[in-house]
Amino acid sequence: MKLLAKILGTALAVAATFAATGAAASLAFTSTPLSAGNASVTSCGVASLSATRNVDNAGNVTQVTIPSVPAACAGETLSVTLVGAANASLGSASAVVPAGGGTMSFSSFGATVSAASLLGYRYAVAGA
Amino acid sequence: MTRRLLLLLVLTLAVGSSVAYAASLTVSSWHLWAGSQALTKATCTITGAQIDTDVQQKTPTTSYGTATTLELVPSGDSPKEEQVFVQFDLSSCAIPTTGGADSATLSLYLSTAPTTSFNYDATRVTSAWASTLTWNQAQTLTYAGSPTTSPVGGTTSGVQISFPVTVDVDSFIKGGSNFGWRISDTGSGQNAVKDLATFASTDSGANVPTLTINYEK
Repeated sequence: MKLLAKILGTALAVAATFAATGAAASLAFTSTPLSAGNASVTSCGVASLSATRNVDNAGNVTQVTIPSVPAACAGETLSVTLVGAANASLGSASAVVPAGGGTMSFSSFGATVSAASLLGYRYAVAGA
Repeated sequence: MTRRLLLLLVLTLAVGSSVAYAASLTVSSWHLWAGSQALTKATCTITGAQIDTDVQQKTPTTSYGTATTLELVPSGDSPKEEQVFVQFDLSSCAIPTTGGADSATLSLYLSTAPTTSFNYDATRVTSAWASTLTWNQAQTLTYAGSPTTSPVGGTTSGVQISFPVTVDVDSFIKGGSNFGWRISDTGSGQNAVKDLATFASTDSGANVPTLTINYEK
C-alpha cells in the first residue's frame, strides 16, 4: 500500500506538471491566440538584394526597384525600409513576391522621401 | 480500490499529456531573411559642355557652334526666335548605372539679360544633334513632351541661371539617352533686340556652362 501511495504521488506530480505546461501554453492575450513551439528558420534562397530608385525633378524618390528576387520566395512577403541618418526609417513598403520572383517595384512609402536623405535600404523576406 | 486508483492515474496522465502535446505543435518550415544595403554619396561638377550652340530662326541654315555666346530670343518674337542647345558628357563622373542623381543643376551664366523677364524652358532633347546644328535641323529633332524646368530669368545681367534637371540626369545615369537640353521660352516681350538673352558658351572660356550632380552609388 505504501508503494502504491508513492506511485500515485509521483504520477500526480507528473500529471500536474503536464497540465501546468499545457495550461501555461494555452494562455491567451485577450483576442490574440498564443502558441508555443519550435520553428526551423531558413531563407527562401536570398543571398543579397540591391535596389535602385527613381526620382522626380524635386529629388524625391518616386520608385524603388529590387531585381533578382528568387522564384523560391514566391508567396512570401518582401519588405523594404528606406533608411536615413542614424539608421532612421524614412519610409517603407512591402508586397508579396509574385510567382516566378524577378523584379519588384515599390512606389508608395508612407511618406515623401528625399533621395538626398536616403542612405540605404533594409530588406526582409518572410513567409512560411 | 487499487483498480480505481490506477484507472484515475491513467486518466490523469492521459489528460495532462494530451494538453501538453497539443501545446507543443511546431511550425515546420518558417522562412526569414534580412539584409541591408548602404549607399555612398558624392558630388560631381562638369565644367564646360560637351557641345553647346544656339540656332536662329532668321538664319535657318547657319550654325553657331563655335560662338562664344549662346543667344536666346522668345518665340513671341518669331520669325526672329533663337534657342540654345547644351549637352554634357557625364563619363568623367564615373557614376555606375546602378547609381542615381539626388539632385542635378544646369547653370548658365546670363551675361546680358533682356529688358523683360522670361521663364526659360529647359526641355530634354531625345534625338542626337551636333555642334553644327542649325535652326532647320533643330525642327527635326525630338523632344520631351514638356519642359523639365522653367526658372525665371530676370532682368539682371551677370548672374547664373540655375535649371534643376534632376529627373533627366537620373535617367542619363541609368543609361537613358543623353542628348542634353534645349533652352527656349515662349514669352513675348518687346522685340528681338530688347528680349535677347545672352549666355556664355563653353567657347567663351569663362563662366562656361556647368552641370553639378549630387549622386548616390
